Amino acid sequence: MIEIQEASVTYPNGVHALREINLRVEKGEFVFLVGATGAGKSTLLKLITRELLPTRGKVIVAGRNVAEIPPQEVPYYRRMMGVVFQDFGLLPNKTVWENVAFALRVLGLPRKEIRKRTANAVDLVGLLRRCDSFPAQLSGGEAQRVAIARAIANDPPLLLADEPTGNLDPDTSWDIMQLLSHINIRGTTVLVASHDKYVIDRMRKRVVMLERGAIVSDVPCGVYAHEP
Amino acid sequence: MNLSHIEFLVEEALVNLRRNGLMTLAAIGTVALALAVFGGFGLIIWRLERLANSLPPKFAVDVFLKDSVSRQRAQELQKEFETHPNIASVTFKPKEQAWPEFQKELQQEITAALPYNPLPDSFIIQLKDPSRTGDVSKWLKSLPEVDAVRDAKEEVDIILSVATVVRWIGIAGTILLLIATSVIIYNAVRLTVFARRREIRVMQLIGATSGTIRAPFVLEGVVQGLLGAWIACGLIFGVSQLVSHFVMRKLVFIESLGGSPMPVWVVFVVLSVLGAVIGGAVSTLSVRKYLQVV
Repeated sequence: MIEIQEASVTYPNGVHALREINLRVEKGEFVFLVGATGAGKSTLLKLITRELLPTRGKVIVAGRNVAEIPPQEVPYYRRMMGVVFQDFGLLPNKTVWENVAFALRVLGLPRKEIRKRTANAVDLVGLLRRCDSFPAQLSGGEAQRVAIARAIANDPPLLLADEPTGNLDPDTSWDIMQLLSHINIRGTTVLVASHDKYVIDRMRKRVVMLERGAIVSDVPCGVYAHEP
Repeated sequence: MNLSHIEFLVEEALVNLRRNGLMTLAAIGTVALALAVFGGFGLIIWRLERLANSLPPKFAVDVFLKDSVSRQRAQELQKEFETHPNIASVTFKPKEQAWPEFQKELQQEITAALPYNPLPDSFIIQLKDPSRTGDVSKWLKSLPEVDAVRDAKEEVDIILSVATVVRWIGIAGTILLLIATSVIIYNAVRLTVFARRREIRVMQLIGATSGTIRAPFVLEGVVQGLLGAWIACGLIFGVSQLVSHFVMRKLVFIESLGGSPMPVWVVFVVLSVLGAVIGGAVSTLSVRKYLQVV
């Protein structure tokens, strides 16, 4: 699904965000990207969403070299992935329902289809009762559920989450991870950047550890604390 | 792009306008004030120029013929004058007609004492281009049948130079104000876009095309521009009504000299078009910065 070959990212200010990363993620996997703030987790995700291009090396997603996608095709490329942010990234002027439906409306789907898929996604995250609420009226956990519903509404093969539990308490974090795990079981490849030791250790998933822009360990059923 | 997609974009714009209430109001208010100043200034300049331009044609050239010129020759001269490229109209005033008018103007007792009509036959000539008064007068004076020519060259020259100055001030002022107006509106709209830059990133990651992201912003800009323009029109007409009520009434001659006032719909159309175009353009510019793809 994702293949990163010898990818380096150097920002214009000279900071080496990633150094010769090699990473392969198979279809249907659940992978944690862990590491301290500034280790390069978000940069790695941005390579996949094509918000950044590697300074050197290659990023191949679903068989396509990301760098070769022309800018006008980038929106269509991004429709194959859902993205979840630490700060939820909900549109503040839209209700829960509208936020989820929005992701489908920009794709130009027919109304009936939008209604059906929105209902499915909102139901999956358990928020059918809060459909008419605005983001400001939701708890952190609920807001993140809406963001996840939006990310999966289009049923993309890939789900990226950047610190999805960073703003949540441990119990809520655990619920959110369970939700992501559930989505993974349905067949979606899930990539989660996190430093939430509590949930990572309990999930027993593949853990890729980054340190100052390099991968220092990659363990199939790992824990955050794993020493290389 | 199908119909439901267009419907979606329009709906987006309208919902955003409503739910970003304060920002929308701030932008509309800015547009309204900027366009009101622009439109008000434009209206004043326009009236001044009209006023200046309407004066010179009132100064006709009077041509007095020698006594020896026959009526038949006078008719020939009239035809000749009428074909002159700078002459708009020629009116023949025979001495029999001029005399009673002259008597009426003066006191009849004095003129009644005169045993004969001392006035010559004359022409009243209106020029097409008042700035050519000097040339035409000179040509008329050179004719053997002409005794004297009376023009208002000096007065016309002064008024024409005033009109030119007014016109240039008007053009320069209009351009400057247009730039200032655009910059002010651009700043107001840029703020509203800046406040929503997160939304733009989210939309990009959802896979919205640049066009889909931009369209609602541009539509919002156009609607804000239009609403602002209409408020500006209201302000301008309100103020101009007050001015004409309290000032113009006392200066009736300005009204009579200024020709017909600028039709309401011209101001309305000009400001609406400006508001919509500026609103749409600055929205496009403001959003562009956030739409760049690496």
